[in-house]
Amino acid sequence: MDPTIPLKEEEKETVCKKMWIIGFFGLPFVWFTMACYFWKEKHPKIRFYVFWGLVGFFTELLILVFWMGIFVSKRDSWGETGESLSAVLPVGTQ
Amino acid sequence: MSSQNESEEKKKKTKKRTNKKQNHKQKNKTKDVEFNTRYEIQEGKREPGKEDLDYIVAVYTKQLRKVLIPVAVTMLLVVLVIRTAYKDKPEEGAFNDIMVYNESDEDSAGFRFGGALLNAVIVIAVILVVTLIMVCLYMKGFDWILVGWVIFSVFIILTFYGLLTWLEIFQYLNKSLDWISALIVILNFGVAGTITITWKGAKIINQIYLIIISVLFAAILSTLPEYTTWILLVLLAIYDLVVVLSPKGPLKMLVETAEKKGKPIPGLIYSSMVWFMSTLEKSKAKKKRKNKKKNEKKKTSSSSESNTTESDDLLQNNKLLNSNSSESEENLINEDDEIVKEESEENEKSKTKIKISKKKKKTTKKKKDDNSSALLDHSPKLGLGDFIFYSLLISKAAYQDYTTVFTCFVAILMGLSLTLFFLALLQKALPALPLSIFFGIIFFFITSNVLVPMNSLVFQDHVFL
Repeated sequence: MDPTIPLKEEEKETVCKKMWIIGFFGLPFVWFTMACYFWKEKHPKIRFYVFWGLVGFFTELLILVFWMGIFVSKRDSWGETGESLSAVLPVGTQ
Repeated sequence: MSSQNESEEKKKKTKKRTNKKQNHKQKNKTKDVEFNTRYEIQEGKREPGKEDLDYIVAVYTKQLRKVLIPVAVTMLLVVLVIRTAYKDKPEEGAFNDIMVYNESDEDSAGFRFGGALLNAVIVIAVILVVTLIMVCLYMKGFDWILVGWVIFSVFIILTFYGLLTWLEIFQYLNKSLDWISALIVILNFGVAGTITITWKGAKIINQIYLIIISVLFAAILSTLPEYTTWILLVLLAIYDLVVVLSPKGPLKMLVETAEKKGKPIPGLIYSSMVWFMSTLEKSKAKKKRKNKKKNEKKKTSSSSESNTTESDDLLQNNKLLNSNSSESEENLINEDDEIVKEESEENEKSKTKIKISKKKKKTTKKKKDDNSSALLDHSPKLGLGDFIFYSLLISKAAYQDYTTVFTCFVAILMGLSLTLFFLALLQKALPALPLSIFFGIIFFFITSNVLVPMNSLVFQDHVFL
């Protein structure tokens, strides 16, 4: 439970693999935190997980930013779907 | 000739290098001596003498920075959140359904004071009860309940209240946001936060998430009615003092059980997490454990006992509240508020404990030195409840104006540094709340009643001080 205890060598791979699997549930930020934690490791499998986790994180981030950009600009023209999709309605727009 | 010169130069250079190495080794040796003396003092073999006092003060100043900065960051973030998102919201009285006495402006000041006192006493009583239950659970070996509670409450706080605060801030900034990306981002944020806090994670991310939790909690708690908040803070400080410093408290039982089991007590602690990899000066291992109390009743209680259970009160509160609220006839919104409020209050109380660590040391090899380097967590640890209550005090000041904020900020940091100083001197568990809250309350009332009107009058009459 205590995250201040540093990991032993044997446990690192299992922990990394678990975080890798968790990240596949639509949670790319978990990959990012995994990369931050295991950044300096030299074990080839951990480096594989970290590298592809970062790749996944950045691609999903790009997709999310792209979608948010589309939504923010086209929300007005979508009419009802736009309104039902928005969580925050800015004041003073048509 | 030139080759001879070159060789002479080379000899000189090598001599310099060896001299440097020897000096470095001597320095390391002196540091080892310092460390050994400190270690012996910790182990009780030697009495601290005068030269050790200098060492203590030096160590104290280095540690001060590591604790002050997170507390300052938390307080500044809370002020930011409140001045943007929460300030203009009307007083909804969301806590009123939980409280025994609902504060209203119609009642006289004395009546309000009495009612608020009643509220606060009930809250602290609930915290006491919940803490006792937590202690019992921990002693009997049911700490999986506490761990599950911590995980659940951290997740709920990060996702639910993070979402609320985010929507409030975006409403203030007048930006549009859609539900799809909001849910995705918040779920990511919440899950990553729970993983780093309760399982394994990078140190900086862990600290950032703990700060975020404190900020969210304090922002929620700031919606408590006025009189109740102040009386609650005072009572909490007294409670903290009594529980931590009492010689027979459950705190010691918990600590001893934790040592026997070898497992850390589940809960939320902010540790500066300085791992020393070399034989540089090692600070004393101080542990300040947070006591979180969980409320059983729906009423908010914010006292924390001296038990060292650092289990997340929020989680406990949530569970207890859920079980209680299902029986109640209150509507869902109030239940949520109650859950939130109770949790926040319980988590607020934290006790700082200083413990001389008796952890096993791991030795890692360094290139040349044969000094044993220990992967010990020699760092002052501050319970998250301390963060939350300091931020609560600052949030009350943030509802007024910036002058009050500034003076209370200084007051709290002053109290915290004094507490750390006593920690360094006395080397035992100390409560972090009382001194800071004492100074904070004094400064708040003096500033808001004396300094601010004086400033406005002086400004009107164009007198420059």
